[in-house]
Amino acid sequence: MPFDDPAVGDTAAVDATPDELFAQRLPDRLGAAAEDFPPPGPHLDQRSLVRGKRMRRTRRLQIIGSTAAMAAVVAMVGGMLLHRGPSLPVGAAATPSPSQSAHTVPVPVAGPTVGPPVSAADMLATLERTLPPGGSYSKSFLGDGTGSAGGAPSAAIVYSTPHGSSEIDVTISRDTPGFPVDSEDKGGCIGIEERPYDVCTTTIEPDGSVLHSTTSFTHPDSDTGQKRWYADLMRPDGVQLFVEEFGASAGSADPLLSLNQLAAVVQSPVWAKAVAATPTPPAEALLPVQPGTLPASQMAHIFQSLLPAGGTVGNANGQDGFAEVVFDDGHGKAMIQVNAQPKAVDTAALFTCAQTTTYCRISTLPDGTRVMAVQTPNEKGGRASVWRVDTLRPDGYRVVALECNSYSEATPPTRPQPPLTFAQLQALATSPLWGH
Amino acid sequence: MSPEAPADYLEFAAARSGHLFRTACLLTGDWHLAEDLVQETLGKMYRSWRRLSRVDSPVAYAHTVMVRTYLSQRRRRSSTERPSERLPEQSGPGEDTALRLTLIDGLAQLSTRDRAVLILRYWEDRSVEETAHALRLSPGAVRSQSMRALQRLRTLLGEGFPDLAAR
Repeated sequence: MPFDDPAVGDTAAVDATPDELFAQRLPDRLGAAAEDFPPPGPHLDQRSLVRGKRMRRTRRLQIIGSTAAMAAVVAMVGGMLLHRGPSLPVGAAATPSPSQSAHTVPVPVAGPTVGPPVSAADMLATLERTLPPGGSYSKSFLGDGTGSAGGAPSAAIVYSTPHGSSEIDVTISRDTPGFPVDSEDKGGCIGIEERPYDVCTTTIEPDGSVLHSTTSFTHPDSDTGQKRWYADLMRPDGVQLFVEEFGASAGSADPLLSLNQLAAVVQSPVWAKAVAATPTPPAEALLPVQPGTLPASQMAHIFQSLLPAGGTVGNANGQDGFAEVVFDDGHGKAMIQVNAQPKAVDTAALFTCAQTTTYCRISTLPDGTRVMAVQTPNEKGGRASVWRVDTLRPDGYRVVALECNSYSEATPPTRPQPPLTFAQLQALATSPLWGH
Repeated sequence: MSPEAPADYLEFAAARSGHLFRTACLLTGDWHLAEDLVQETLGKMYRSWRRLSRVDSPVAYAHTVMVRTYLSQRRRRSSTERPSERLPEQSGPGEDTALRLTLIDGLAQLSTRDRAVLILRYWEDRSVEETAHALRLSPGAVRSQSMRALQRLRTLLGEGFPDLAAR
């Protein structure tokens, strides 16, 4: 019987307050609840290693955490990039140059003065004001005011109309001074590799706010089951307003609010008091960026300028030193990525054909650049084929271009071969546009 | 296994993945999401292994990585199913039991940060200072948040968890 508790009669427990007693018993209960889950699937450690290798290859190497800043968000487009107002100088204003980003540790700035606190009840009442009239509400189990712990205020509610019910959650937060925005995982469209079934649009508002609207699923690795739609508004003052809603648990019913209605929630002026009350988190030091790393916007610009003419580009995604797109030349969508790494390390282990079973060729160009062209099965065990050209210049500058014959490594092939030849991949990776 | 992976990393991942999975189950309340969170955590550990294995305690760091990843992923992956009717979808292989549903449901009704505080303090047995570091909070904030979360969980479990919430 899981509820039996021998500690109830313990002498030590007799004088404890109810809260202390609860705290004493909680560890055992948590342990029992944790053990009560079915065990993980086989080889969890090895599957984790596969993911780690993908991270190491496709993201900036050797740097823990991610350092792309606001510019990455502007550069990151799933589906569409919409401008509602005057064009922002994409990347130019928000992105430091390579020399600026190298080893930059910004001085944390003090956040705005925190306004009067808001309570959980305030948050709920405000959320209700943002929802379309005519529905009914049931109070939430989740929600917080600014409270003594200084957390981000949030609210959740179940909103019902004759068409059904949706849970709707909203959270307000501020950037951590000195901390990379994308390390906090706020805003931005998530790459198609991770979220093949999301549809995400980016809108730049006249005031410089960036709105991302996404349709997704509660289990986002599939396109079935409960739907989860969300919108996040990243304001120039470092405030983020995030709202999400869920469809019915069974079946695939749409949530009640459209994406435009979700956008209206986060853009509503009624949040002003809660925004003013949202504290700025304690400052964090920015992890050093490898000197010479190209900013996300520059990566995206160079990368897309090197793609063959005549194709369409979608799902552009990027970070400092990394860019990817889904490219379609009319014969099927294909993911293409490029990494540019100023000072590669452990290159002896990289430039070897020992681990390759399909195709591998290593050569040296007249300028001393080493080139390895590799064809491999994809590491996720699917049927997509991955082609990669890894180049290392004599000064240690490494550029890797990679493509597959599907819109992500994890998805079914869309075409017999990737769109670029090995020669085109090599030309992309060895382009002088990458600098150095 | 690929020779690219350091032997000490493989040993670490094999030794720790089970415990990390249990922690991830408590954080996410969902078998699938827990698997995903462990892979993301160990993947990040692998990515930075050379630096970590020389500088930090990998075990402590893994928990920090996991809880920060969990907090940051709230936007990416819903921490729990959110059925409007409060009827959870089948969240993994096997049968749910009363204990799991009751305590896990109680945890799910806390904010993500409250849940993380409780699990670090009462499941991982991390000190206030360690928890503060992992969550980027002040020790004082951890103490007050921990107390508030405990009281809230106790209230939530009042009916469905009589012995734990006993007066």
